[in-house]
Amino acid sequence: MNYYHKIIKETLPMLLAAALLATLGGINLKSVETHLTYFLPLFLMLPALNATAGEIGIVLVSKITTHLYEYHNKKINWKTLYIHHLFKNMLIVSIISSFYLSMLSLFLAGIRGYELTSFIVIQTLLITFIVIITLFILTFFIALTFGFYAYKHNTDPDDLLIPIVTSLADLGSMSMLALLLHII
Amino acid sequence: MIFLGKTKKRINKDIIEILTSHIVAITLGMIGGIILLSAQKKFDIIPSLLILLPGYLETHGNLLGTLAGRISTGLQTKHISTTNEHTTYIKENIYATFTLGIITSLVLGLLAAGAHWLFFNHLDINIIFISVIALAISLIIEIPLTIMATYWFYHHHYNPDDIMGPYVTTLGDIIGILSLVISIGILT
Repeated sequence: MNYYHKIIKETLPMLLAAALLATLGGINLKSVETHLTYFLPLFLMLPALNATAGEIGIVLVSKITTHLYEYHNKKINWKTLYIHHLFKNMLIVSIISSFYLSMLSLFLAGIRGYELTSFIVIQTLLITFIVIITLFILTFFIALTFGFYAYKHNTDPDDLLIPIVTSLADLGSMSMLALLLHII
Repeated sequence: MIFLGKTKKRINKDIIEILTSHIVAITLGMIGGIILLSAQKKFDIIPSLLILLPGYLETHGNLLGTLAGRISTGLQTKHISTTNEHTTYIKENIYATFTLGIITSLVLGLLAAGAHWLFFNHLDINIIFISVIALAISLIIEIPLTIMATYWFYHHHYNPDDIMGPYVTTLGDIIGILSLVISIGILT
């Protein structure tokens, strides 16, 4: 089998599975289309929100994988000092990212003549914060639990978990956005 | 204690690096949002566009991320030439990425059309062509940019593994949405 076919064979199943999961997120998004097109700040941040949730997951998996390979004699869990610091610092990154994302989209919406009431500002901040922080906690739990499991079974956690956390982040961010738009 | 000190110092350096790349990615990602806004009026003509969007954007990141990852590993393990970008290895990577892109975009288009028919009682065939044409246009631009950037970062003593993730996602957001708008313009 030449290299071209090897790439196709190894990558295609993961891509198709990710496409299927992301389409489910798209269906949720479509169900709140009217709310979304009215809510300009959230509409503007769609691509960036989608990307941010996935990037946080990728960084977490990469960091935990590198730590597992560097200190392979040590078992890592919630009590490990490195994990405490990683959680605390990634939580700070997630909070600042969600705040920056909200403020930037509100600013751009304001420039485009969108009326920014205090209710809209609070809604935007709240929805972005809930989506990003919930997905951060979920991906952290997955990266830590399954990262160690994969490492113990001689599988590179990067290869196994990055497609999982990015798909989960895509599906999760769009579904949570749809749900929160329904609720709020 | 020395171990703890080193760990804390490394984590503080990490937080600044991660936060910087996130802020840059978010800022550039908003350009994608602005371009998307310009296509908002087309949502009535192509009603299943919102169903396609998350999968379409994710596919760019997945395709280009794995392409950059393979080239980066090849460069760091000296498996491929660090100076010549026109090798069989690179060519096969380009053909494979493009083929994967076309297959995935076709599946994404079919899924979006099927889901719209199933859940919203309207069959929107155009979305299949839009998905394939948009991904083909964007990959023609993104694949060379990804390969060049991977080599550039490697030659400038950066680890492409650390940088290419946010780079390809942001690249995919901007060029991907722009291609989507162009393909909608072609077909409507």
